[in-house]
Amino acid sequence: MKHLTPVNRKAARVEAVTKDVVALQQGGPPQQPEPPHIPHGCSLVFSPGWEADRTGGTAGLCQPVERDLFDCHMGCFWPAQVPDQLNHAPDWTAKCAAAQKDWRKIDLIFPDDENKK
Amino acid sequence: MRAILPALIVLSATALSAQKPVTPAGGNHLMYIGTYAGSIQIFDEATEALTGEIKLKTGIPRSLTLSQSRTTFYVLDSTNERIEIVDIATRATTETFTLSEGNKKVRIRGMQVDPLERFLILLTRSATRQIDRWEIGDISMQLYDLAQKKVTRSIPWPRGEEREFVNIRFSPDGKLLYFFGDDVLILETTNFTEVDTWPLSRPIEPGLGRVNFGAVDDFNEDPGFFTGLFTSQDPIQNRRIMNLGRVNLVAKTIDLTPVGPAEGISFAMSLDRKRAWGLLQGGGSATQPIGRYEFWAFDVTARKLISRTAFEGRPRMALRVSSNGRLLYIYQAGETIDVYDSTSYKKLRTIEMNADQTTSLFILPRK
Repeated sequence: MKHLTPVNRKAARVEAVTKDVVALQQGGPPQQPEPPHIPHGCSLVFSPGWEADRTGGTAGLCQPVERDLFDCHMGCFWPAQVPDQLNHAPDWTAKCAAAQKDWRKIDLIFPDDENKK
Repeated sequence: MRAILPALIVLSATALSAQKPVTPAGGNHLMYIGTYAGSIQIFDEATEALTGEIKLKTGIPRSLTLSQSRTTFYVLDSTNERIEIVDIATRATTETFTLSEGNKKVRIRGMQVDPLERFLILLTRSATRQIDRWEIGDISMQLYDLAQKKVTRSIPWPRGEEREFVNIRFSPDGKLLYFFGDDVLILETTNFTEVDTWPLSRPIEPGLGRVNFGAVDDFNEDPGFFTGLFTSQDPIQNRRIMNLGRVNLVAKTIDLTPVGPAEGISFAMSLDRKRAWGLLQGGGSATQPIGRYEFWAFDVTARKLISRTAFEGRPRMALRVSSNGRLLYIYQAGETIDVYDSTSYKKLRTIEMNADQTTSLFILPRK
């Protein structure tokens, strides 16, 4: 049996409020819905601009969040979501030293530009 | 226009010299930090204003390594290919070099500076571009001779154990090299042969369990020592214990005092070594949810945890203690350094930079 049956008035009120009283020996009710499956890191999927923290949210991302662009560019030179600094676009951020303030100044990179290098 | 220009110059000079000291101030040292602008920016602790800049020839720095003499920065650039040597007093570059040549790129994954600045030990891996592929070389430890300005030898892996990352330290006189692994292997620095072992994998006293190094601060320590947090496994209760301790590398001793259950926090000590602070940064686990940020305060002399204080932090924080110990600087990632009172933990103000930070923050006396 999964659910308990109230045998007194107090238990009946508890059931009325909670709607679903589950026997403790059953392992307890599900406290939290299953978290979303978020691939960790930005190099597992190709989706420009995509990034999430380990809970699937954005609260744990870098602050300022624009800085993550720079760190993908400089530190995460794997198949990153932004032009990689090591091999293809060393000057992508040359006009933008502060990501939060002047991210609009980062350079535009097109496949043709890369092929010329 | 001729009349206005000198007036503007005078006004600018007046504005620069009129930087008022902040209250409370963190001291009278200078703060050095590498930035995305391809420079090391220098801030005056007393005014918290930008007072100088060292423009780097190798571009954006990835890390700064301070020499034991505290006169030189060894800068690893953002491509991991170039090293720039900067004299702090003159704020000038004295040398740059790379190990890459032709179609062979040598990435430098780590660097350790000899205390006498005779050589650098570089952890490198090469990638050679062939017509149809990249050939990836073995990871190796190389000795770069600073006088001869070239790699003079490779250092064999102690006991043949090749590593992707290494943690090595020198004795203060530069005669011994400590290679941290399960145990600490001790090598002499002439031929780099093993001369001793510090068996850290074994309990340092019965019943204590193995000791692991956590966050340590050797910036405000004597050479050859580091103070910090160490974890040990309690085999009876099956739990990890946090210890405040001090390592003496030369004597091969650790002096430990348990302070509570182990938690992952950083550690930064004041210049006088009496106080230290740690940062707890919730990473999203059940016990440390995202958004849980705490200052931990330690009495280093009495070996006690004094307090834990929650505060509204930010993701990705690093901590430095001001030179007088009155302020705590929270930095990393963006272009701001948040200034906190080290007693009340109130946020006092924010130092605005004009470029993002890329390296650790160093607080050094004026030259």
